[in-house]
Amino acid sequence: MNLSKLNRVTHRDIGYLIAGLTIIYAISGIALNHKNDWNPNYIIDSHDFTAPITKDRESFNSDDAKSILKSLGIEDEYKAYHFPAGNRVTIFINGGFAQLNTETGIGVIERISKRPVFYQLNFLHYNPGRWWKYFSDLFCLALILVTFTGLFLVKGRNGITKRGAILTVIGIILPLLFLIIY
Amino acid sequence: MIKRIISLISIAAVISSCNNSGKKVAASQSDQSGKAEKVEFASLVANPDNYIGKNIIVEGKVVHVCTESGKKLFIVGENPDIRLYVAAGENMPKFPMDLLGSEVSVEGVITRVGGPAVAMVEGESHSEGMDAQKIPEAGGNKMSADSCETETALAGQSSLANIIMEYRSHTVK
Repeated sequence: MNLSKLNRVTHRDIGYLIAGLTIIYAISGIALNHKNDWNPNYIIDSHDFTAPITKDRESFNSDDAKSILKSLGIEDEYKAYHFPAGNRVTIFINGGFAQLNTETGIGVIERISKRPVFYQLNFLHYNPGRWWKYFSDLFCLALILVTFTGLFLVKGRNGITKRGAILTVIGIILPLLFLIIY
Repeated sequence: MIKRIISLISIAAVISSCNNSGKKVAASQSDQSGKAEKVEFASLVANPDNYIGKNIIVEGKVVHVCTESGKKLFIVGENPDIRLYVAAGENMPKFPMDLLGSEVSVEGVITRVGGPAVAMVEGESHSEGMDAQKIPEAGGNKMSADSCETETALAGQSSLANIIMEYRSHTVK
């Protein structure tokens, strides 16, 4: 097997191997890139409500919390409550919480659920454990290998010595430009 | 051949999803495990210095889980104003959101940091638009603000403000 064929075979087979992982990192990368615009991991469903409350936190108890939930029709979902100093009480329910401003009686219920697909992809992207770290290191090395073998796939005027060289240099200059801009 | 590959992927996916459904115990790092000392939350609050560098188990109620990083958990004991910040390290999975409001036993190593605990762990802004603790706007019914109130409250605590528990494992009671 000559060098050119070895290069092609390596590029092809490693490319097949890492296709799935590349998609995982690419999709979750876009999702996490915009994490200031949305929550890529969870869908948070919010509903406002009002519930007059007359008790302070010294006298507030679980019955009061359940009573608030009862007025919202979700008494059965009660888990616990948290009433730190200040004017906000948080009542935990299955899959979320209700939070109430005890001065204004204005509150919000938030139900939190995993965003399908994205949660799982982001979970992997965020390096969930030691073995995944090693696995993703291998993936990165494979990505480098695929990139380098890809540079030498084509010969002639579209190869790395002509058209390929120009495009490769552009691809290197672009991130450098961002470095200069920032 | 392709049918076999698809079958294998399907089986792996099913096994993976079954494995994720267990909620009792989270991960632990066996290579760092020392025998953990069970400590009352109140003892930790009263004398945090006694536990610096020690692997302990403490029980408390989960009052906050960070939806953004998933690596921050806050628990309280009897006193609702004193929170313990539990930080999951790089090699730990995220905390599941269904821990909110649950009574848990958490194992981890207590460490002291030079400033507010959360700020020391993360050198980034704590803007959490989807955070669990939100502030009702005065005169309106929309919950506001991208600031994490729990982290702000932690910094002002009379105890444990600069204490972090480096998470190892937890059990839901």
